[in-house]
Amino acid sequence: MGDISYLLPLLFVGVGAVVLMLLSYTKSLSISSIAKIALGFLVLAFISNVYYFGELHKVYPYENVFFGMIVSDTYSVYFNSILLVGAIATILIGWDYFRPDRRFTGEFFSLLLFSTFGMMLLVQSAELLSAFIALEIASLSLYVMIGFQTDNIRRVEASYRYLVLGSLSGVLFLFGTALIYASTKTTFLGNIGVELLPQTGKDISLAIGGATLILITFLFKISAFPFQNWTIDVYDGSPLPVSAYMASTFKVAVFAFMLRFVAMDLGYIKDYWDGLLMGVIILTLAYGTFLALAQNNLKRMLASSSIVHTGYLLIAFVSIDIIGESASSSIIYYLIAYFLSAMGAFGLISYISSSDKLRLTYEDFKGFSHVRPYMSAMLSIFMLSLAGLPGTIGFIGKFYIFSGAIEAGYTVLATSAILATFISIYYYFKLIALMYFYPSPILSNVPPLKGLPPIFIGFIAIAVLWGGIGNTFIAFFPSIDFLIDVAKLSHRSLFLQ
Amino acid sequence: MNTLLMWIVLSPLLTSIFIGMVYMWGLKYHKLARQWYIVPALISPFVSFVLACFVFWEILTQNNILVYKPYVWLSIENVDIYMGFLGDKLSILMVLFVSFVGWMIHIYASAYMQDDEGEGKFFFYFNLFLASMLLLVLADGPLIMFIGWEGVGVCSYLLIGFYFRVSQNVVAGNKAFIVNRVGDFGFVIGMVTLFFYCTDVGFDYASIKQVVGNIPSFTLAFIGLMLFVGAMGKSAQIPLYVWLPDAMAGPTPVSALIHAATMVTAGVYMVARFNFLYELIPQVGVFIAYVGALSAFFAAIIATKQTDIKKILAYSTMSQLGYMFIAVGLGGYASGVFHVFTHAFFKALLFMGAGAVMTALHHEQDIFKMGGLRQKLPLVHGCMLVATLALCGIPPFAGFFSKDQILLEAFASGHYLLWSIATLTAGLSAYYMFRLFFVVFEGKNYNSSRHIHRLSKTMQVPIFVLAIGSLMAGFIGVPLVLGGDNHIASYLFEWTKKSLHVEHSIEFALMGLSVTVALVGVVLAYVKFYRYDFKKEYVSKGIVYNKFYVDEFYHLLIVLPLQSLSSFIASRLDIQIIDALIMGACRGVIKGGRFVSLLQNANTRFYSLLMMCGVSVFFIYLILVLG
Amino acid sequence: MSNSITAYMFLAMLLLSIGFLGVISRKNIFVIYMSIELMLNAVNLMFVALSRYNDLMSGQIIAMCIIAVATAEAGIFLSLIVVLYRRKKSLDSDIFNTLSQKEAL
Repeated sequence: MGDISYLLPLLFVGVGAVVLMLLSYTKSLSISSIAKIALGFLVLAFISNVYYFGELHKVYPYENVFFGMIVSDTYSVYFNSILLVGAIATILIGWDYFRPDRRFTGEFFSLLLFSTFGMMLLVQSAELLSAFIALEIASLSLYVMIGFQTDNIRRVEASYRYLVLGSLSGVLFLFGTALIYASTKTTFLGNIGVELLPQTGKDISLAIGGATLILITFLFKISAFPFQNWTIDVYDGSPLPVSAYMASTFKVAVFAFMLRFVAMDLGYIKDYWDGLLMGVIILTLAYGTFLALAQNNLKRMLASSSIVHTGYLLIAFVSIDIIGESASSSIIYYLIAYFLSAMGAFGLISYISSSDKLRLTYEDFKGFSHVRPYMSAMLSIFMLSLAGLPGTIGFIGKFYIFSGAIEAGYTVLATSAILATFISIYYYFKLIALMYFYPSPILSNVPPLKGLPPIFIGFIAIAVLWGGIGNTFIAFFPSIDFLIDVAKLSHRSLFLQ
Repeated sequence: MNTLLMWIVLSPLLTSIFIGMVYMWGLKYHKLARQWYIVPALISPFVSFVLACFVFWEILTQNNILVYKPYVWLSIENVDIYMGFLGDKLSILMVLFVSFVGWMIHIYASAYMQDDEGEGKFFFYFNLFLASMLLLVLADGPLIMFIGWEGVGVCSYLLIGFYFRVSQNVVAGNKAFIVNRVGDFGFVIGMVTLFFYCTDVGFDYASIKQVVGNIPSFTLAFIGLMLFVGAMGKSAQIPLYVWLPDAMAGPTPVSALIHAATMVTAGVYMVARFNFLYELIPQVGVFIAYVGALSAFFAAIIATKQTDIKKILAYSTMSQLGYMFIAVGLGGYASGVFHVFTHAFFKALLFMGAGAVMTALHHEQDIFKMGGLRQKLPLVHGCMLVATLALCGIPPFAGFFSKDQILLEAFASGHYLLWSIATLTAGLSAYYMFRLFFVVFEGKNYNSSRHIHRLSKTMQVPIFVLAIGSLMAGFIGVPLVLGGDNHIASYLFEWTKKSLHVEHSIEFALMGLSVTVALVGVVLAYVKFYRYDFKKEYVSKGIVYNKFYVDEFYHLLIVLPLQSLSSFIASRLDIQIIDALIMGACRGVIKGGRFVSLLQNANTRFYSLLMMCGVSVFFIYLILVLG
Repeated sequence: MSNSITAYMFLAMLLLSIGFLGVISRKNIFVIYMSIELMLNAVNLMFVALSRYNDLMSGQIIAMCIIAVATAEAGIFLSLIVVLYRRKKSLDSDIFNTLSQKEAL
């Protein structure tokens, strides 16, 4: 197989998106069959992607066509797998949620695939303009997905807010690109780094400004302070599966690009950001924590807590040039941990609310365990994982990040992160306490455990526990050690020539 | 052949999982016939036993050591810890009798637990226990052993508290668990300290053996002591023995399996396994031997005054374990293991007999309410006699040979104090065992009209088989002076004490002396308790009956101060200081939350303004940094 | 020559700032959209000028691509404006605040 095999995952998703768009025009297919087709394309892409999983390589496919703007390496394969699993998970979780009576149509799945395509392209782009285009493809489709139910003012508003602020941040990204272009005359990752080396003796302050603007875009997309305000509104306003999709996958894609950019080009510039990022991290943690405490609505609580998780991730991000490989693998691992926990929590809540009566505030979950014991158990597992209790994947993720921060000498950051974790137990355990320690359930029509989504969420719950046990207790089964090894390998693949 | 080692452990493990699932299914849907769990539960120990026989034969004929490492369990820095199984002469001997005695007890239990509603659960725990014990024995390193070590701990906790509706039993289970935790704490510390020296070579016994010479002797002594603390807990030695008598709260097969034949010998096995370590620190070994001797003596004294049939047996277990520790402490690992081996047969038999008696008498446990059972239960009577004689060390029963070797070793190594304590204990053992025997079986039965529950065949067969075992088990270790070959010593050659010269005449004299002491004990018991007058109420009081008030002493010394400390913390520290602090902090945090939510006003323009401020701050910072 | 590129850069930055301020200060959604377009075009101007200054074609290509992306964004923006207007019969950005913390509590 030639270069095409490296592009197959992208092609499958992109072609799938176009095909679905054409199919949804016919109106003769039911929404569930369109969902099945979308699932088929995603699974195909996933299989063609997994083919190269864990194999150390770096290829610029069709270099005479793309001129090295698109790259396929171990790193991109790793992240593409996460993204594809995220997209598949979104469809499976929303299986009962995306119904015609909610004004979901076939185009929605086309948009989902387009957005996944954009994110995958972002992970694979080795050039700033292609990264911008990828980012815009992903965001634009997401704006529409959020506001897809046009009869609901909350959806439309969320879409509007995200659109305005997202476009602003996109412009900042472009402006940063322009400044870097002005300073280095190139927009290719790798070449930029060469131009910025101190040996060249150039004044690189313009490029530092440009890189900072790109950093701002990055901070905006992962919702770090002071660019975090949109998060809670948009998550709250979106349909739940879309919130799950955003929370888990978009962050992964943006982080993937930023890690690549920093690792390949900004090793020297990054030092200037040190104090800045420390302030950002502490304020992000504080802001997210305070905000989450004030919430009464589960969706908003999860959104605010995602800000806190951004703070944790950024800790590993600042320690990356001191402890290198282990920091980047701990970021990757934490992204997986958060991906699983958030996907599970959002997914389960969306399943619970997929009947028409919404159960979304803390109060609604009083005594929930008496009605739906298994669902409560799963929800508890996700909450425990988000809080980072031992025995769940969240604990291992946090453990890597905190120990890495201490190793790199950022004791202040580690301390504030531990403090934030400590407080976070309040808002996570509040739900568990309400579910289990109240006798009288507020009875309403909770759907029973039936069909595809609960099975899938159950799998996620098992994965969360599996990642937390943290070893191969059962023989011959790939463990998290394997994931971490591949993460380290993919970090290494960034520097292949 | 090597994979068989894994299947020895997996057979009961998988079965237990199966039984557990069947039981859960039965609870949830409709109850299943008991064959669903009885049959697999009975087959799995047999499978283990047969596999162990194969491995044993292989080792015996090929004279090699089998190692099977299916996969890396943990990978820490550059040490790979394998899920490894080690089949050598020592471990496979243990496996042989653990699986065999375990099988017998499973059969017995299938009759004993017949009418219990939690039967499925019981066999689930039982098989899980067996799997853990086999893992403990077959492990190729301390860490894997520790999995089994904790596994048996958990199962013993679950089984002691099996009749959980009586709160006393739950307390007993907790006690066993907590006391064992104290021991495990020591074990973990020892293991971790040892690990520091093994970071280059690996953490299985073979690798540890290489580095053990490089460890400074003081540290090594510390490691040895700490590991022994673990053994103290598991094998019920002074001062961590208090859980064992209470552990009799569980069903009798549990007492037979766990607290006699298998789990409590784990400590002895561990010391024998680490023989290469303990050989370098003989002082610690002597300490171990003294702890063992004291435990043996102390337990024997307490046993002379107990009235509960199972408690007497529990104390006798502790006493016999003391003997084993004398042996392993003095370096005679083979004799220690030999005693473990013989003890497993006769002690399991004693417990089964006790269980049979209790079944016949509708769960009566006070020996002074029994009496005259010889005519009613002839088979049990005969078998119990065999077991009692074996325990007392009367030739030619099993206990005689193994106990004699231990006494001989104590004498030969010059520890005459140890030897005299042990010999005296032998007399005491004979006394209390025959006290039990006479009272239960020979005394005049005043309640002859009482209905005797008939014993089923499945209960009698294992008793009979084990009686044969108790009779014969000693013959594998007949000493040279008596014209035997002492197979066990030559089989466990690596574990025998080197340089042991005693004149044959002295050896005969020692043998005679110990038998005489035992006979004196029997005679005393005969005089006092044969045809015991049941009309007279047995006065149970005094310091000995109350177990020297050790439980009360511990209560006073450890439990009470802890309780008052915790109540102080709860009432003063917690409420008045910590709560106040936390609640204050909470209020602050919630205020912070209110303030923060002011910023979330859902105004797009305001958000853009914040973004702009952020960008400005970033660039002001950059300008400051770049100068 | 170097003076002229500085002038272009300053003009571009000025336009960008005006656009940013427009997003913050104007209430009408249409004007907010126009401000964002202004910012995009400021960046375009910068790329084109740099491209010409350095004798590289890449900047111009980038500008074309940005225009294409801006068109896609325009499509979404305009349709969203229609939907928003249908809901509230107004284009005042400030009245779309159903998702504020106050309302959520």
